Amino acid sequence: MGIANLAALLACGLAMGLGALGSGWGLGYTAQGALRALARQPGKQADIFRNMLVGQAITETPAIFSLVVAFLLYFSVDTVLEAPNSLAQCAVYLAAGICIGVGAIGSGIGSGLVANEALEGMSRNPRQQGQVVMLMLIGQAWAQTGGIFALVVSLFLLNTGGFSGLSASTDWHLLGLIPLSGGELVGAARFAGAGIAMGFGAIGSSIGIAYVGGMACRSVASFPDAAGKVKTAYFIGSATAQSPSVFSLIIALILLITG
Amino acid sequence: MNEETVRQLVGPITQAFALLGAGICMGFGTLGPGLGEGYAAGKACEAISRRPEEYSNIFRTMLVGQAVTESTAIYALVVALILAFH
Amino acid sequence: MIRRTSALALLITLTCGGNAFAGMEDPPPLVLLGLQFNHATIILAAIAALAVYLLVRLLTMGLSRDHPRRGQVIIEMIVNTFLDLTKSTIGPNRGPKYLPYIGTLFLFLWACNMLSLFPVHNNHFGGEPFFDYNANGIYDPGEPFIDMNGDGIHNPGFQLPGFEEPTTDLTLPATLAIIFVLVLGHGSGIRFHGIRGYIKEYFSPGGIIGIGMFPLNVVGKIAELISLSFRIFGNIFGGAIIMSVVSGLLYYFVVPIGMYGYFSVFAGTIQAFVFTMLATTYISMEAAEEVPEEESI
Repeated sequence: MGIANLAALLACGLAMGLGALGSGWGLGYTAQGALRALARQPGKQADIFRNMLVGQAITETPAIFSLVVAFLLYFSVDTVLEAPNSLAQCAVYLAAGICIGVGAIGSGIGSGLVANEALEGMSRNPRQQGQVVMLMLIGQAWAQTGGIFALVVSLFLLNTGGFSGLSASTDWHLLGLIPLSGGELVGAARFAGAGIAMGFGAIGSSIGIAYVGGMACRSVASFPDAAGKVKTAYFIGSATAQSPSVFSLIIALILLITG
Repeated sequence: MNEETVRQLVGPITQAFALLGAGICMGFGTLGPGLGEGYAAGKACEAISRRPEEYSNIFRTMLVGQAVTESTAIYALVVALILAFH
Repeated sequence: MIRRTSALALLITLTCGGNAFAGMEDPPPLVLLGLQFNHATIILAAIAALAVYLLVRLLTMGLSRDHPRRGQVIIEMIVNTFLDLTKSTIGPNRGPKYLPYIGTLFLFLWACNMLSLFPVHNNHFGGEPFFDYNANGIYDPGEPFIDMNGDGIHNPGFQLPGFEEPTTDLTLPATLAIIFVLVLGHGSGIRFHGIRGYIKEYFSPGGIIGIGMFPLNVVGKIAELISLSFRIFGNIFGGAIIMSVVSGLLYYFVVPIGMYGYFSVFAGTIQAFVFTMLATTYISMEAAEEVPEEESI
């Protein structure tokens, strides 16, 4: 067992742990919204319960993405035998784990925020329930786009089997353990940079878009007459708020591809 | 590690730190703009629902505010690109 | 609507699986005209499409206005749900024209996600047998194989796929996303706004800022496709991993019915609906009617 296998196990734990953090937070927000709605409209218990379950099913998505990457990392412990002891391979595993783990935090919290506002809005104006559920689903799905970018970058990292620019010669040993060469150091920094860029870059946009989605749900529930205008502002506003995470994706892909 | 090896490794180490810096720059540089633009758009939605007749004014202000907020993300993008192609 | 639904289901069957994204390890993909075809995905998608066709045919037999049967009530509920969805997102006039596509998309994805409920195992036909245990009785996958015809290669034969969701292969969601967003959505954008109006969208705020925004808008359109296809792929794939791990922990002796109920039935339906609704939203961004101010409620 090389040092890269240890990195894969550590990354597996990081991915699932951090990913579960965000989703758990969001699930709590959703339940909180449902409880507030229930306090306001005790008669609508069945509707509120059903919509809470739908919201929670979608809020769980980032945790499931983390789980996919965690299992891919876990299964790759035994199968990768070609370069088990290289720093670049360590960086690939750790970057994939951190990318999806941190990227899922924002998505999880964001999805919960949207569901919270939507459930409360539904209880304020039960006649607008259908429209608010639609907006909630769209808002949650958009808040998860950052997490999906993180998933894409993680899968990309895990599929970089034979990367170029890596010399086999050993120049010196890090800590007396890991054989290291200049090309390998550059490769490791490339992978780590891509993972950090996309992982942390997904947080801000996800929570920002979720705030827009939550406010749109609340506005449509409270003032249904202005729904069309609010929806326009919502779509364009969240498309603009998405662009920082798109920048992150671009930088991550540039770092991965130019190697 | 002798002096020869160190001299060989200076270039790769510099490049490695530049690449890592590009990643960190872009990752943390988008935290603020993402949150801020979302906050602006969310408040705009709320304002439009309260005063639909002021729609065009609010919408234009939202777009300008978001564009200004986005400039910090663009600074991060430019610096990250410079570092990535260092 | 029913006839168009079934025609589209067959079209999806023919197109799915046939693109350049495929790259599965086992079984070896068919290669035709430089494209890789994963035959498990093709067969399972065909089964799902056939199931949708038969189901809709069965439910719509003997329609009556006065005494609707149970099947008719179900299909009317589904059609009404998606009629409301298309009318409210795309518009009251143009929306119903998209109803056959949107309804078929949902039913097809739903049938795909439900396929894992049928416990059919992987079966090999006509190949050389394969053993995971070597001559000493020790578990050693991959190494020992029976080489009957002496060509030095293990011939797995034709593998009938086990029933797992074809949506666990990224090929299928990516193809559906391309069909519905790129072809249907952008196609109607060109149709309703003309080529000039369509290209103008890419410089969206207009002016000097618009020229700067052009690459961002292009990347944003590509990001739509990525997020749409990876969302359902990641969810269904994750659910499949959880199911297999839990089944393994139970030594394949007890079927975790509750978990199947949640991950397969509930989450599968929700994700199919979310995919459908997002596809409708993306189409509506290109094809929405310009509603007068008073009616935009």
